[in-house]
Amino acid sequence: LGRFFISLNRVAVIKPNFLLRSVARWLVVGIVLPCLTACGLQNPTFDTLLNVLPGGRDVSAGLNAGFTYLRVDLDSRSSVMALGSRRVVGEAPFEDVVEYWYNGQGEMLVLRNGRIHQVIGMAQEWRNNQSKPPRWNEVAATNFPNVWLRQLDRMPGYRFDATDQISTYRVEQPKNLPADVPAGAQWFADDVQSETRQAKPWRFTQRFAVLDQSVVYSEQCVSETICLKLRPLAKVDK
Amino acid sequence: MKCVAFSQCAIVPIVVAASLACGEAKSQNQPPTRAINQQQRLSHWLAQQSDSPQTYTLGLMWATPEELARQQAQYQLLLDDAEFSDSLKQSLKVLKPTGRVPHAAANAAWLEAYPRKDPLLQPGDTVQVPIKPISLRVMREDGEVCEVPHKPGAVAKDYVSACYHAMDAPWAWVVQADGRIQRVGLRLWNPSLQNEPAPGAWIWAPHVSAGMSDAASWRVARWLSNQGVSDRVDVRQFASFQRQIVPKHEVAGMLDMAGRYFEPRPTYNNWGIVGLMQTPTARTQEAGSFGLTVHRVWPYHTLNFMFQPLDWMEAGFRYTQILNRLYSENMPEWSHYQSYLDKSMDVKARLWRESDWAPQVAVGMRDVGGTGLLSSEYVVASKRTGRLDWSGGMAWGHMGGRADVSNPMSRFFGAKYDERQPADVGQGGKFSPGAWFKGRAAWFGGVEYQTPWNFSVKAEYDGNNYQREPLGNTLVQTTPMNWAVVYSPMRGMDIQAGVERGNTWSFGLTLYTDLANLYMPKLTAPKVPAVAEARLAQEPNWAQSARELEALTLWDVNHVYVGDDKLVLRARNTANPYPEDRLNKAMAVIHRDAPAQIEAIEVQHEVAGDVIAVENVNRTAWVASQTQPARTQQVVEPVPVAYSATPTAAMASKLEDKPIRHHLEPSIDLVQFTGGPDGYLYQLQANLTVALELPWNLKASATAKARVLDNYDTFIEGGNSKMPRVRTHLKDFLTTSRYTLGDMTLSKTNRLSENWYGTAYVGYFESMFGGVGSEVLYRQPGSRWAVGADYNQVRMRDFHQDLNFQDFKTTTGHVTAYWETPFEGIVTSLSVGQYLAGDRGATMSVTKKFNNGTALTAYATRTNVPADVYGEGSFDKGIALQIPFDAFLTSNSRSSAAWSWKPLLRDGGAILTRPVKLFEATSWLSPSVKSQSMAPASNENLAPDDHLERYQRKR
Repeated sequence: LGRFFISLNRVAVIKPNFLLRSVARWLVVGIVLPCLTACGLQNPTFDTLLNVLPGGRDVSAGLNAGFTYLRVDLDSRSSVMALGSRRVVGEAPFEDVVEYWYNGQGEMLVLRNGRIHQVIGMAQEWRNNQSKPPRWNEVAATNFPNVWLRQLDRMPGYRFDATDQISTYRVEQPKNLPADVPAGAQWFADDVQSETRQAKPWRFTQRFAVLDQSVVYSEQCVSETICLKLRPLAKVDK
Repeated sequence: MKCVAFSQCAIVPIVVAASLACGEAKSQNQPPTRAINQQQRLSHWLAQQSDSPQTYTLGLMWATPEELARQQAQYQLLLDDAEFSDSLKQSLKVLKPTGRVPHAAANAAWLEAYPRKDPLLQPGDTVQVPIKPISLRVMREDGEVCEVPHKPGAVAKDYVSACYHAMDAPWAWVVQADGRIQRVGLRLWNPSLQNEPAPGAWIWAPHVSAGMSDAASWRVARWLSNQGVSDRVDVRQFASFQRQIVPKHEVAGMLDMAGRYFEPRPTYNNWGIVGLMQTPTARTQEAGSFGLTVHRVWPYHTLNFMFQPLDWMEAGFRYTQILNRLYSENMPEWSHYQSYLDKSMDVKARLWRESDWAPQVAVGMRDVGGTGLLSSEYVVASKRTGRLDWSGGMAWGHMGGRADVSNPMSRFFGAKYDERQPADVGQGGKFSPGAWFKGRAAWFGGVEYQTPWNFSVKAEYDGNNYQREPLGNTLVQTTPMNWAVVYSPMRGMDIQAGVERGNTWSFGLTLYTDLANLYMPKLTAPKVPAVAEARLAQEPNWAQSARELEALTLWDVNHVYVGDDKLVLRARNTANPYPEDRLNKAMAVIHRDAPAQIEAIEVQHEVAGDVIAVENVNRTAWVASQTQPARTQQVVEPVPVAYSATPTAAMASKLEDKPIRHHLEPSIDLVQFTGGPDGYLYQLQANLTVALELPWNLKASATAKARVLDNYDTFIEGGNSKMPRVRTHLKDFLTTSRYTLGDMTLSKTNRLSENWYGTAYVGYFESMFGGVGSEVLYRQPGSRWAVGADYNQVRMRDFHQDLNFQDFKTTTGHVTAYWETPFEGIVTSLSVGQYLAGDRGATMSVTKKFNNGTALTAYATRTNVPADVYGEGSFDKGIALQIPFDAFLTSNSRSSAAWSWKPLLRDGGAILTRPVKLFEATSWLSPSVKSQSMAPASNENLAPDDHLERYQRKR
C-alpha cells in the first residue's frame, strides 16, 4: 500500500498541480458553462432550467398541415387544440355550429357557436350543458341585454344542476384590439352571475369578437381559476 | 317497512312529491341493461344511442363477466362479515353483485379521442345508461335506507340530517353514481371540503353507537360503489326504508364559522412546528411535509427545518440567534461580533386523534438534543369547532417558565419531579431525559380561526416567563396574550405577523411543500412512442431501437436476444427510483419494433457482470393495459421481479458488444454551511464527472470541480479538536484550491456466489481521503435482511485535492446489518466498526422512504470517545434528505439530490465516503424495489376523473 502511494506521488510530481488546475478551468469554461445554454450533453438539471427560463415556445411551430387549430391562452401560457369535428345542428335559420377541439393531454373543448359548451378532461369540467344561448344575430338585433340561464353539471365537486344567470349584449369594439383580431368584428359581452365551489358569488364578464357569425376571438371562463382566451387559427396549408 | 315521511310528501313541490310518493317503484323507469354482442369501444356504442337529456352518463354501468366473478367472491365474504348486523346483511342481499367496472366520463366524442380511457366492450359485457335520478339514498348501520331528493348545493350532512334529525353519525361515506367514494365529516370537529352527493348517490352513515370500524364502513362503501345509481333497485325491496322531503340547504354565513366549505390546513408557529405562535397545537401535517420557517421576535431570530416523516410524528432542527448576546463574549472580534447562535432539535408525536368527545392529543419536546437553552416539554390537546381550532396544554421548561402550576407528575412519580436542572450549555448535544417533564409547569392555549379567505387569525395564552430567559435576558411582558395573522399569498408560503408579550412585533415566513408528492411533468424528456395494437412483420434495426430505448430509460442496453416467441433484453445501470415507469417506456419501444411473433419479453437487469433480477412481460396483456381501461377493479400491481433468468449463452445478440462505455455529466452544486461563527457560507461549484465502464467489471470514475462563486473570504473557523483531525480541516480543504479533483477511483465489483457480492476499489474516494478498500455483502433475493462488511486503508489527501496525499493514514471499516422493515417504508441499518479517527463504535440509521422515492434519514453514532474529547455536540448525529431528480425535474435522471445536516462537524464517528456501496448497488434484490412510483399531479392539475382522494394518494 505504501509503495502505491509513493508511485502516485511521483506521478503528481511529473504533472504539477497547476496543470490539473488549468485542465479543470478549461473543462469548466469549455464544457460545463456552455451547457447552461445548450449543448449536446443531456443533463436533466439544465433541461429544467432551460424549460423554465423566459422565452417560451412558439405554439404555432410544429403544427400539422391539413389541420385546423384553436389557440388557447391561459394566464401567461399558450397552447393549441386541434379541430376534431365540426357539426351543424338544427335547421336554418336556427342552426348551431358545434366544434370539438382536442389536444394531446386528454382535453376536449366543445364550442357551440363559439361559446364554451362542454369541457372534458381539463382540471375543471362542464358536463351535460342543457342551455340554449341566444345566437349572435339575435343579440345583434336588439339594444337590450338578452338574459338567459345556463344549467350544467360542474366537476370536480359533483356540482350538478348548477345554474348561472347570463346577460348577453352588444359592446363597442375595444380601442386596443387583441393581436390578430380583425377590426371589422362585432363585439359582444356576457355578464355572468355564478358561484364558486365555496358557494361564494362569482361575477365576471366574457367578451366575444364575431365576424360573419363566427367567433374569431373570445375571453371565457370555465371556473374562477380557468379563464381562457380562444382564437381560431387559419387552417395549416398542406 | 315504514314510510315515515308520507304525510310530508304533500308539502313539497309537486314534481318531487309525484316521484317520491311512497310505494312508487322508481327503478321501474330505468332502461334495461343492454348485452354487448360484438367487440366495440364504449364511445362507439354511446354514439349509436339516442341522445336524450334524461340519460345520466355519470351512472353508466359497464359490467364484465370477469368483474362479476370477482364481486361474487367478495359478496359472500360481505354477507359473512361478523361486524355487520343481520338487518344490514338483509339490505346488502338486495344489492347483488353487478360486475360493474368504473370508467372515465362517458362522453362519446371525448372517449373516441383517448382510447386509453375508452373501454373495449367484449361480447358478454353489459351496458346500462340510467335515467337521471332526482333523489339519492342514505343507508344506516341497521340497513335502513332513506331516499331523499337531490338538491343542488346540499352536502352529505344535509341529507343525513333530513333522514335522521339527531345527527348521530360522525362520518359518512359518499358513494357517487360513478363509483367514487369520499369519506366526509358530519360534525363540527371534522369538517372538510367535500363533494356534493350527485343524483343517484349512496351515503353510508353508520350510527356512532354501532361501533362499526372504519374498515367495515369502507367495505360497505366499496360494495355500494358497485351498484350504480342508487335508485337502480326499487326501494321497497329493502326490509326497512323511508322517504324524506327535500333537505334543508344550510347557508354558510360570510364567516362560515361552521366550516361548511372548508379544508383544515395547519400552520406553523414561531419555532417551525405546527402551532400558534410560541405554543404548539396537537395538529400535524401530512406525512412527507416539510416546512422551512424563518421567524423573528426580539431578541430571537430562528431558522427552522421541520419534517413530518410519519403522519403522527413531526421532527426537525433549528438555529436560534439571540440577537442581544454575542457568539463569543470573550473574543467578540473572533466571531465578527456575531450574535449568539444555538442549535436545537424538536420532536412532537400525536398520541391520539380527535373524535366526538376526545380532543386530539400530542406530546412533544423542544430543544431536545441541543444545549438545552430553550428546552421544553409539553402535552397539548386540540379540539375543532368548524373553522375554529382550540388548543390547550401544559408545558415544562422554557415554554412553561411561568411555573404557576405544581407538577402533576410529582403525584405519580414522586418529589423528584418537583425540581428541574438548569440548562446545560456545556458540550451540548446530549439528551437529558433526567430533566424531562420536571419542575413546575404552566398552562398555555389558544385558538386559530381559518377564515374563508386566504388568511388565518391566531390568539394564544403564553406560558413562558420572560423574566428568566436564557443567557440572563429579561424581557418585559405586558400581557401573556399573543396574537397574529397568517397570510397565504400562494400555495407553499405563509407570512405571519403579530404582537407578542403585548409590546413586541413578530414576523415569520414559512415555505412548505409536500415532499412525498413532488411532481413535475416530463416536458423535456424524449417522447415515448404511442402504443398501437399493430405489430411489425420484419425485424427492425435493433441498434437504433436500443439507442432510443436508452434515451427513454437511461439504461445501458448490452444485448437483445430474439427467440421464437421470446425477446430477452439485457441492460445494466437500470436501478432508478421508478422502475415500473422505465419498464413501460422500454416496452413502448420493444413493442413497436419487435417482430409480430414475439409474445414474451424478459428484461434482465445486470449488476456486477451478472443478471440479478428479471422482469417478465406478456406483450398482449401489456398492450391491453396501455390501450384500454382494465376490465376489473382488481388493483393493477407492477410487473413482479423474478430472479431466475433465461439462459442466453446459445443465443446470438442483435447488438454489437460494447467493451467500453463512457458517461460524461456536467453538474452544478450549491454547498452551504451555517451555524458557526462564520455565519452563512456558500459555494457554487461546477462539476464534470467522467465515468468509464471497462471489461471485467472494472469501472473508472473521476470528478473535476471548480469553485465558481463563494463567500469564503469570511471563513474564519479553522477548526480544533482533541482527536485526529479527520474532518475539522474543512476550511483548508474548501479554500486552499479553487480547482480540485473531487474523486478519482477504479473499482471492480463481482457476484462472488449466489448471494455473495464483493467489490474492491482504489483511488481518491472523496475530497479528504483516498486509498484502497473492499466490501462484501450477503443478500438473498427478495430478503428484507442483508449483512455487509467493508475494510479500507486510507490516507488524508492534500488540501489542494490534487493527486497528493498528506502523512495521516488510518484504517477504517464496519460490519453493517440492513433491515428493510415492513412498516411504512422504513429501512434501518446498524454499522459497527472503526471510524476515520480510529475511534470505535456504532452508527444507527433509520430511513423513511416515501412512495415517490424521497428518503429522510436520521442517524446517530456513539463511539468510545468521551464527550469532552469529542467536543461540542458530544456525539455525531444528523439528518439527510434524498430526493430523486425525477421527482422535480422536467427530464428523467438516474440521480438524486441530497442534503445532509449535522449540528456540528466533528472528528469523532467520522465515516469514510466509499466509491461503491454494495447494498445500494444491489437494490434490484430488495423486496420493495418496485414499491415506489412517480407521484401523481395534485388534484388541481388533474381531470376530475383522475382525482385521488386522500386515502388513495400513496405517501
